Amino acid sequence: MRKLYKDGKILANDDVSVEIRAGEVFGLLGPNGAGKTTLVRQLLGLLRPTSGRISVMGYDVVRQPSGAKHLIGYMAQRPFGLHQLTVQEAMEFTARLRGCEKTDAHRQAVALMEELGLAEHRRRILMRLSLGLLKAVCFGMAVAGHPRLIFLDEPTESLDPGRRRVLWNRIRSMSQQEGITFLLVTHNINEAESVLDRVAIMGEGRVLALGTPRELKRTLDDRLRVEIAPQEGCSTSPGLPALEEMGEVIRLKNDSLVVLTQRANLSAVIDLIQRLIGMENLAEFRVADATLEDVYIRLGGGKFA
Amino acid sequence: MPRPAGNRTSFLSFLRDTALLTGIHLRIVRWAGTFTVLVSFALPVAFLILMRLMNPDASPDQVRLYISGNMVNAVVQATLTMMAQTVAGQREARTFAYYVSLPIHKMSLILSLLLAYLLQSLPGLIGVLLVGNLVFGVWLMPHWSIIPIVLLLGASLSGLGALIGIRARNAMAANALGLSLAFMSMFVLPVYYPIEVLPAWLRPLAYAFPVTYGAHGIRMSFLGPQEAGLLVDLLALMGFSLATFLAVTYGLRWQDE
Repeated sequence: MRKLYKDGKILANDDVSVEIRAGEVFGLLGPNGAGKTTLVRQLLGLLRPTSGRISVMGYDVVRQPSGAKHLIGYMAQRPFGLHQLTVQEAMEFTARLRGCEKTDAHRQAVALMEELGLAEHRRRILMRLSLGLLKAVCFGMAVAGHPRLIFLDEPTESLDPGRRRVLWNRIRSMSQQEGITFLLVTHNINEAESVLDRVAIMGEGRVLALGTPRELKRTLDDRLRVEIAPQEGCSTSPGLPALEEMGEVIRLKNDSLVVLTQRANLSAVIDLIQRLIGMENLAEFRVADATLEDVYIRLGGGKFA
Repeated sequence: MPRPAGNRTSFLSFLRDTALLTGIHLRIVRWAGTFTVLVSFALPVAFLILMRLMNPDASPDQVRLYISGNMVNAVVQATLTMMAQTVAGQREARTFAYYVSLPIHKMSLILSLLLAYLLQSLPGLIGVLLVGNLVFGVWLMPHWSIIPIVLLLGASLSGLGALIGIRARNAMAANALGLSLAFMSMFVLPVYYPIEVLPAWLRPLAYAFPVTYGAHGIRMSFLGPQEAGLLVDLLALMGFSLATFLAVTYGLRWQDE
């Protein structure tokens, strides 16, 4: 499908064709403005595609919106403005509007509040919650009411590490045990990697790469990542030509570099850095296995970092 | 487990969703409830006292005009003004993105908004009636015909407020527009006086606003059953309610574009 904005002047999504399988956790990665949120909003029926077709479990999102909406849950990047509801009311009303009976909605809300660490806040109105707690409530609202497909836009942003772990665990268990499908938009690539079954990396409105995290990482040939960031007033430029011969070099902001190199070249790379740039001129020096984030950065040629 | 998709369009589901959404709106306004009741109560009561002070020897006809006029004023404040502000505020806060992601009908949402604001106008309305009697030392109670008049007046004004909220640039603009219209309807339209008092050129404008029929209907309800005049008021208010409901249904962008 394609999506054009402003009388056809801005191409938000271009030639996007993706099939998300039932029960999988599918990730959409990409920098700001890559077209991820636009894509999700079209899947939800909040925006109409300019051309193409979107189908959710057999329902055409544009032609049969009520059938599709019956199956989906949605957590927006920014919390909805229902600030005057209490935590419990927000979850119960959402479950009931998705068709659950009162007792079931109540039972779900109580279980979710317990799990997400919101039980002690259940009578507080959303307006008085911190952003992190509010995001946890929004997650609860997205999963309340037994939706079969759940869209989560930056779900862990502003969450504390404990709640983040709870949320990732919940996503994994709902997917594996209940067969719920998730579509996840996130910048938190390394954390999300553990739960993602497949990933689409987007840039400038297009899908640049699609596959399992393992498949995508395989494109890096089991390389190591060497990341260096210079001290203030220093530069990594003197080492650049030589490092480029040792592997793939991605330039990041502030003159930082990521060198993706074969394990056998590691000592030679370190030696080059020592000789041409100088360890004393570096604020950061890190060596690690290449991650999904490196695939993402590499596809963007450093622009995504 | 949720109902299957096929049942969602049934009338019972529609009613259930409308009731649930009305519950949400009433909970949303409860924190501003005191303020809303105050707004719909304080201004009309202040007017009542002012009128009593300016005209201590008001005739029974004049007292009826004062009390019924301020009851209309209470409904205007609680519905038109507050609705305009709320709808614009919800648009700004992207609350409609929440509603659109749920398997509910757009009309359900609109109807629930109208109902919530209608219910919200009742305390102020009853308060003004009681305080009016107290201030003027009378005992005027309306005929039951006031019930459909007030309901339809509230529905048309809520619809008008929702239209302002939909079209206004932001909540502040909606508030300013709603207040301007509210004050215009109070002083330029025949709320505190009969339509015959208006200059002939202003009368067509008066007939184009629901408050004219609402004020007339409420005034008549103090005189007992007035079937002939009441029918015109009821039909006109029904027409306004239906027209604003359809206009809001059409005008509210369920989707972002």
